[in-house]
Amino acid sequence: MTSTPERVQRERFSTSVRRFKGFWSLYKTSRIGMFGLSLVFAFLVVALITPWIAPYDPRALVGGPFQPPGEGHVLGTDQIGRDIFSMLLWGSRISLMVGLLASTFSVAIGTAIGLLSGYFRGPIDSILMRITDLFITLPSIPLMLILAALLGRSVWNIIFVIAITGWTSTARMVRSQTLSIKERPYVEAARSVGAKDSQIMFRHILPNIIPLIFANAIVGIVNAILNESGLSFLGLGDPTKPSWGLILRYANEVGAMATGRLWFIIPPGICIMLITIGFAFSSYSLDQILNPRLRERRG
Amino acid sequence: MPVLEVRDLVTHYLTTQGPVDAVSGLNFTVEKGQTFGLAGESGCGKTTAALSIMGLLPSNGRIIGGQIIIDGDDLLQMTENELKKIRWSKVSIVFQGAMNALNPVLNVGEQITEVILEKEDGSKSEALDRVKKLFELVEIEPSRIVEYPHEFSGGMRQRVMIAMALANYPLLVIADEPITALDVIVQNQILELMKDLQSKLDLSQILITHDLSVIAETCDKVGIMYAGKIVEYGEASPIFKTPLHPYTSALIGAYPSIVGEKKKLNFIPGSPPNLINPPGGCRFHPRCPYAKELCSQIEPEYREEEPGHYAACHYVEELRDSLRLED
Amino acid sequence: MGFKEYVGKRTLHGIITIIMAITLNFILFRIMPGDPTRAVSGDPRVDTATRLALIAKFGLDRPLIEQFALYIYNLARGELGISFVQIGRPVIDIILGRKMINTIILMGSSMFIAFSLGIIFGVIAAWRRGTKMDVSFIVISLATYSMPVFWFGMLLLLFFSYYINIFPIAGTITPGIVHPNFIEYTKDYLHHLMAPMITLGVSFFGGYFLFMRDTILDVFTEDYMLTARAKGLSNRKILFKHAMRNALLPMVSLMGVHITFLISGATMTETVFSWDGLGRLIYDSVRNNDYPVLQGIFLFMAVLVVVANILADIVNAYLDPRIKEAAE
Repeated sequence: MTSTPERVQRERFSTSVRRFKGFWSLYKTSRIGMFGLSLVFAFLVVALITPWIAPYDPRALVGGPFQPPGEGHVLGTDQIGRDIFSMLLWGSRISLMVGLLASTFSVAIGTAIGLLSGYFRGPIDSILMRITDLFITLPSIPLMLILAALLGRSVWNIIFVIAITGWTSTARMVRSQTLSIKERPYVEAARSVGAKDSQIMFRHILPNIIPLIFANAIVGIVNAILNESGLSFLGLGDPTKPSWGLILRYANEVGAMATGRLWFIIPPGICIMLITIGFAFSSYSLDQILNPRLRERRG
Repeated sequence: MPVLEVRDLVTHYLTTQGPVDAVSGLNFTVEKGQTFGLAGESGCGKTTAALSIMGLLPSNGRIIGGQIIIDGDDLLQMTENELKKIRWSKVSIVFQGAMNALNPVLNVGEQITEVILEKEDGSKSEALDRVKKLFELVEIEPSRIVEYPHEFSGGMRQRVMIAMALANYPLLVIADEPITALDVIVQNQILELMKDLQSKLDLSQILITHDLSVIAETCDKVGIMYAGKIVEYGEASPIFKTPLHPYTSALIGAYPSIVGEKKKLNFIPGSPPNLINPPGGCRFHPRCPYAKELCSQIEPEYREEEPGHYAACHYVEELRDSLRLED
Repeated sequence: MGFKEYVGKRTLHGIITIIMAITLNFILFRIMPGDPTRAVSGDPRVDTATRLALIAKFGLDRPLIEQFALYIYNLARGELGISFVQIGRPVIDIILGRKMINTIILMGSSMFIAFSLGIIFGVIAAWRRGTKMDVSFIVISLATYSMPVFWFGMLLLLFFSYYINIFPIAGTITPGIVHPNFIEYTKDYLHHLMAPMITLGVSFFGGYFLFMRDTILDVFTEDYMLTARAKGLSNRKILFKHAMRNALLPMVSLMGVHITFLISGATMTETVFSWDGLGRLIYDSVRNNDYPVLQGIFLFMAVLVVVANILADIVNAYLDPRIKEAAE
């Protein structure tokens, strides 16, 4: 009985769904993973409903300077009178946005390079690998700093800068996976019946490495969020967007440590910590599932 | 007094699906100057037995009961510190596939002298002298003691392991599949070396292997293990000439003989049983060509059928002739 | 390939990378939008005479290729330009001086603490896997990993400088005081070094600890560890002589990779503690748009990272007898 293209698509879809369900049931057993996921989820929700729950406009001057937490201001105000709680809420959007976008872009770049490199080999591979090596050996942090300084202070520049320095590990991983999957019998079979290169890459190779790419992406989010807060702290971020790193920058600039204004200092840092822990724990569980050797060692 | 006496050893592995009954009541002795062969398929529990004797089970392994008596002392009554003292000084072990059994970042001389110095008083140079002599014994150039493991070939590494095992002049050496990972020609060389050492040093040994031809060549006494139990035990000659257990006979028959007429190779159908839920009655019955109803219900008694020759089968008398090795 | 060949090859790689970094440095600062060096012409802080001199020196009115050649030539002579902020002061003086020493002391001491504590506790935690000690250290490591370095520094200042006065609030030495002798000076300096060093050290400890623990656990599964146990050696020997030595090999490579993160960490830490080093210099230069200094620092850091990685690889090759002996 010959399979129609429709049927093949349906089968493929249900296989993917089954695989995903399998992952999910494994993932659910990890307490660390579920804890991490719930943190991430919590922040996502907060970020989404911020416009409705933030008491004030984060950029507006709504109180006296350095007001401690109290009347009308859950977390007090900053040095010129902005409400810290609102800034914190809006900051979650920045962190998440930068984290997700920067990581997505960097993983996309890495995957494209890795796939092309591993699949076509030859001169394409050499060139792409040279470029990858260049980016690996060039120190990423100084590069990020300089690029950020030169490009100007905007959120998109930050996303660009983080993405452009972070794709190399994904590229390497995807390339080595592509190399090994390429040799597998079913790929050979596909090729012999005349499948086009793009079909092989997208239908056969890519689906198999999606889980690993996803795991890489999660780690990328962690790094992106930490990098973004670092860059904002140093003054390279978008001054119009109240990112958590920016809040801490203000705190540092006005000597909040020396004057004991802990409501200024502690909350933004805790937020960064929690969201990072959320993604880091999720990534840890994901790694446990995907890396069979780690699973053996658990005994 | 025998060098080693193992009585009713029971070892389990704890797993998420339940305890694995890896060694289920093992009994054997090794006399001074004797080589005892422990034979069986992979997974039958022979390595577990060796690790139990040395006290080197992995974290999920438990010795449930029995006695392991070396030189008069029961190892299972000892603390970890006491065990550490007797390791290598009284009993040492040569592992299979010395590929990775030697630490790659230390030179071989260092790896042997450290255990000499750990167990005995003496100077480093005295220890080194001994290592050189040991190397001569196993036919390695003594100047090579400063080299690293990766500089030796597989067969040479195994010689180093053997030299190391002899470093403290132990009472007993356990060799767990010592030649399996080597290529055939080297296998022969190492085997010859081991026989040579055996006679020169009057070594007491336990040789663990699935290869019956090796056992036939080197062992004085043999224990045939299946699914965690010894199914036949005794002197080597009678076991090979007149096997009393179907499994033994099948094992022997599974090896082709170069001389004699070409025969169809008897292989043993099926695979080793799951030891979390071993088969009821005789553990071999699912694969035994002679199995009858009794075999699946009652475990056969382990009996001395002939002087010094033990077997665990319900139908020893009936099968005696069928199992005999054809001349 | 033999050891010497490996060193040669690796160094060559490094030189190529440095050349690429230099070129990138040039491109970034000339070609990027808002070309800053061209901005020299328009920057009001630079007086006319200096401006003309700069234009001449760096050929800012010449085609790009000539500029590049001039750039390389100037670089070879150690000429990195003049700071926009500290008018007239050559960039190279600013970088290679007091600040560099302060930064190196900070980075070196933090790295040393993080590394030593990381490997020792990593080994012990792996040995005592699953115990309270192990779990608490893992939690600590994860916590410090997810904490931004600068925030940790701020917390440290908040609690141990403001609330409990152990640490000084800023700087490398107490301002205004003239010290009678070198010992007094050193004591004051070290007192100021404590907080930033702890901050940077703690933030790296987690990484080393987890990596070491992971590597040792891997090593434990190796056959030679079973041999070591079979020999009845003491636990100390098994752990530190047999296991750790094997686990240290990948750690050395890790250190090379960490240099770049150490630099970013130092930047943050120096900013929080006003530690007078290159990191703080970056922060100030960014604030003041002092591009020549930024350019110089980037070059310096790039070279530092490349050199550190080469050294790490060479040390790794030296320690691992398998690589070292290959051709002999």
